[in-house]
Amino acid sequence: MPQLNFQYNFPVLQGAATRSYVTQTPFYFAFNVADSVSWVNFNIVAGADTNNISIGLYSITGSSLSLANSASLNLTLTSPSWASITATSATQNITPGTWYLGLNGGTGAALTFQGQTIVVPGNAFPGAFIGGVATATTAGLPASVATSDLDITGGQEMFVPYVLLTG
Amino acid sequence: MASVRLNLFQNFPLVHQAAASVLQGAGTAHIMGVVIPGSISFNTPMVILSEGGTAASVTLSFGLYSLNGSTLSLANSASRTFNTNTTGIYWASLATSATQDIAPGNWYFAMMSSTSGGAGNMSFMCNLVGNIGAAGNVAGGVFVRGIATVSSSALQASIATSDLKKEQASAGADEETLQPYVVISA
Repeated sequence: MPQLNFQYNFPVLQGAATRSYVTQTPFYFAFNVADSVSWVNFNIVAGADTNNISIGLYSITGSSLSLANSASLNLTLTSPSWASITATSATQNITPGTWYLGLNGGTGAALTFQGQTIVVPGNAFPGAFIGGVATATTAGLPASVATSDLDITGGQEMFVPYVLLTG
Repeated sequence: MASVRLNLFQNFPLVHQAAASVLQGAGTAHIMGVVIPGSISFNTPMVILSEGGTAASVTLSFGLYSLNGSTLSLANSASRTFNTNTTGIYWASLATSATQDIAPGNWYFAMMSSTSGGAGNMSFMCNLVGNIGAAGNVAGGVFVRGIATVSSSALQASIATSDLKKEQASAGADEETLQPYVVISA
């Protein structure tokens, strides 16, 4: 497969469920990349938020997430909108496979994201790590995260925002 | 990543979130970028038709485009003219113009109806429209989803990216996020 120009987690906007995250409480979710794609624009749909947002690209080894790259953006939105995060810490051609994205806000108000309408199972996902929310507040994005330190059940924990990566 | 052969490819999963919607009609193509993870023969594209019992004649055109620089180029096409007067929801196959083995990677599906559907009481299964808010704050980078405004009722051999409008470009413009469901069967 040739180099991709874009990769998404959801192929269409399918309604607009929203979730809010307490300030400086990062959450993580899986992101499959079908083939190599350059990180130029990481687009998400944020709410009417005024806050700094950081996005991190993580790989997973065992039960540990490791930060491979990151970018941040100061949001000043008055209504829900696509937000394009471009200022990466390093250029990267993302290789195919399963990655994880981490999102965290600064010290501003809670961040709200839009994504798919979700189902909230009452038990934890029984397979490999699929996503979760930090149980302690932290500034920025940790260089490594133990998945055992994350809350992995509930609505916030299973929510996945729309993400569109364009090269 | 090693290439595999696919028997089926759908532009989005048709799970319990779909609705019958009329398309914009002649002159507006709904365009959706997709990631096709393996090779697939362009044999039979299929849509899901929803009819309301009024006599109607609608031509649905499907275009397979690749992006080359600032131009979408037509690689293949399919179409079908529906002349109906029934009620119900049906699978409908489109006739392709040429055989093709679609290579894996990014492609664009374009769909255009000859009428807006309402007059003919005919619509197609599409995504639930996700109008997320403010106009103008579109996703950065290359065009991925939206509409093209073309000057004729036929899909063009090439479409300049300057003639494309990304989803959320306009306030309340549901047509920019509306995408008809299509599945390609090899």
